[in-house]
Amino acid sequence: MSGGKPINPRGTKYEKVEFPVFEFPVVGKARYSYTTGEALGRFLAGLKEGKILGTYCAGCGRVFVPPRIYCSYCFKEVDGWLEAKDEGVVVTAVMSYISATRARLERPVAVGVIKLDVPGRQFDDHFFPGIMHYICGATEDDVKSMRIFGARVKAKWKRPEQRTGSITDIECFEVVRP
Amino acid sequence: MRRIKHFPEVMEIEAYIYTAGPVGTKWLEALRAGRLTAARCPKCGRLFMPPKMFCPYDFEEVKELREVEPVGVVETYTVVERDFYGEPLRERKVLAFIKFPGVEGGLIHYVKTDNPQMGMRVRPRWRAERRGLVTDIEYFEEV
Amino acid sequence: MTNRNLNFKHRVAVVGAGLTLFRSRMLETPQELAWLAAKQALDEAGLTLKDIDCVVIGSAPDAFDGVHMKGEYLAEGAGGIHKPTIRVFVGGATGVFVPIAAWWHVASGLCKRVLAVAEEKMSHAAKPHTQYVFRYIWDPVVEKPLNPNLIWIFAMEMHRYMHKCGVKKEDIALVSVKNKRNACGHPSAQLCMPNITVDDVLKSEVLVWPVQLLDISPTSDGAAAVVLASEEEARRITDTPVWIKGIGWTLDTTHWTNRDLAYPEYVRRAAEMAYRMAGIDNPRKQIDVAEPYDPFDYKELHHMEGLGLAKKCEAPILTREGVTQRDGDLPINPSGGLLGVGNPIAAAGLMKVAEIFWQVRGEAGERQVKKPVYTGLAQAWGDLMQAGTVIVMGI
Ligand SMILES: [Zn+2]
Ligand SMILES: [Zn+2]
Repeated sequence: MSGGKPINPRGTKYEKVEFPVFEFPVVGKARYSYTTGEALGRFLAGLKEGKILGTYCAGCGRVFVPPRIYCSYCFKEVDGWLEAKDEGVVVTAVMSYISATRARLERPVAVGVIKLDVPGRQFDDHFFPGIMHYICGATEDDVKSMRIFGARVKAKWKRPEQRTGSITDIECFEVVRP
Repeated sequence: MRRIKHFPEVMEIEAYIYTAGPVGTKWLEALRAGRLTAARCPKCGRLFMPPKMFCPYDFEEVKELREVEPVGVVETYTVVERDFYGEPLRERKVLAFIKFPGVEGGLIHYVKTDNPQMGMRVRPRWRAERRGLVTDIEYFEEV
Repeated sequence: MTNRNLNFKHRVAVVGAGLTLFRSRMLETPQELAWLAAKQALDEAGLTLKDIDCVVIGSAPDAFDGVHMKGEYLAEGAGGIHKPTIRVFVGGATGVFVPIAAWWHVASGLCKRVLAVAEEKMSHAAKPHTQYVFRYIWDPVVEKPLNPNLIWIFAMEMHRYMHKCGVKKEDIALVSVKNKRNACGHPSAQLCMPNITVDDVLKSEVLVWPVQLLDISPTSDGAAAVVLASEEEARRITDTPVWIKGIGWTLDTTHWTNRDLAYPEYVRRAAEMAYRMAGIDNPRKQIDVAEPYDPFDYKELHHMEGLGLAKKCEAPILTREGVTQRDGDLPINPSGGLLGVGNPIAAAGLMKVAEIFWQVRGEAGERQVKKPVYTGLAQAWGDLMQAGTVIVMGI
């Protein structure tokens, strides 16, 4: 061994369970019902109508998408609502080969952060209206080569009758081919 | 504009697997063998049930288990009338905190009795098939 | 920002440290892991539980151990029974926050000797997968319905950093190689890989591009502990106390999709606070060894830049030039870090503090860095790219 500290750290590792353990199944599942709150409630209702809504602060000029009812920087109520466009640019994107439970996916999916356009406003890299979503129409190579960075994308909406007031009312953001 | 107020989500963790530690495992194995034991601190001599590999009073390592006379005393109890979902139980259950003379701690377990009393002496009713769990004792019954 | 009034009652020193083994599955209960580490820290300081006035506990989300109120649960193994005991929590940044909280217990004059303990047992949340527990850090309304895997967010940060700084996967893999090799000198290490190469990292399973299996630290069980004491007590306990010279911590907004992920602002602010207190104005020259938080290999680079140990986009270059090796000019993660020693979340952060303690005392054995160590730094990060915790220690 190294002769350094810690000297003889302890603990009993095991690989297989060959002794009594408590396996405690989470029976019945824990069912949550989250309230969306003011801002996200209106945001989701907007999605159902095919609109991406945000709030803005006149004090510092920030635009919040996803919206909140307060500006956390000026610490005051926001000054109103605005509509972002359903298109923007990709600021980062990745290719997921695994599911939420770490199972291998049959086909990888691209996901990323999209910086949304708001007519009449400019945003730098440090604070911008942005959401995470699936990106469709991008190949593995588009992602791996980073060509996808800065690409223009546009929301692909579900049909109005299929929308439920969820972020999934947008199927994905589709790469706009020039 | 109608607001969407609720967003459902189901927590889908399937199971936790807890281990009992080096001394706790021996304690469970003793239960499987139908014996009730407590761990002994070599420094202060206290006996602990359920056991841990250390004494919380003096931080000494605890390794040794001693067999305990399987006769406990009901320290306190409650009568359970309803199940998890609030439905009335067919048969009321007495859940007690059972201490053993000279032992720190004790066991929370069911006592089969129509007349629960603080201070009543009880002994374990062992299951025929045991797995090394506290439920290897089906319930306690009056001595 | 105005200078803070650094008017403390007492200087504070670390006088002992302890660790368990870090392994993927351990038989000991969480309380017992905490005790193993706490006992070793007390033994090293030559103290007993009676000498301890107050206890600070750190542990990440309860959902891993599967025990609610984990602080209260751990109190017994952490030596906190019948004492003023508190649990602190700032996500993954918790491990370094534990000695920060212990520091103010002593600096205020409230306690003279404090036991600070961190523990994590991730193996309990076994089914369907430990990673799944992290699902609950995502926003329940706008993110979770997309069914995300935790690694997404790190992959997005890593890729953004690579894009902005023009960094190649090969350069980032060097960090994993260095740390997993360094870990072979650490008696607690879970992943000592003496022969690992960049190629091994690049050929490992692709999880969420650009993140591959060997870019990530493992899930682990383990515990760590340190003993802090006031100046008067520290001098009585040991001839070689290691002083806490600066502490800093900050939190950024949870709305990570509104920020640039290329640079860890949350670390920069925490470091600034710690440096101001420690009187450090040129960290690259004044810090002799550092343990930045490295649950992913790119995170080490990212955090070096946030800490001012490298300029923006410079950390990969320093790494390629060998500057961050144990015999380099700025040794980074000589312990082996989370990538090598393992990642029992809160315990991993505190392991870094223990490493700096041993490095400053010259007690790290084959891990001891070549250059003399006067000042060292440990840092952790947590949540949705939000929490930064920094501690500066020295002789
Ligand atoms: Zn504002
Ligand atoms: Zn004792």
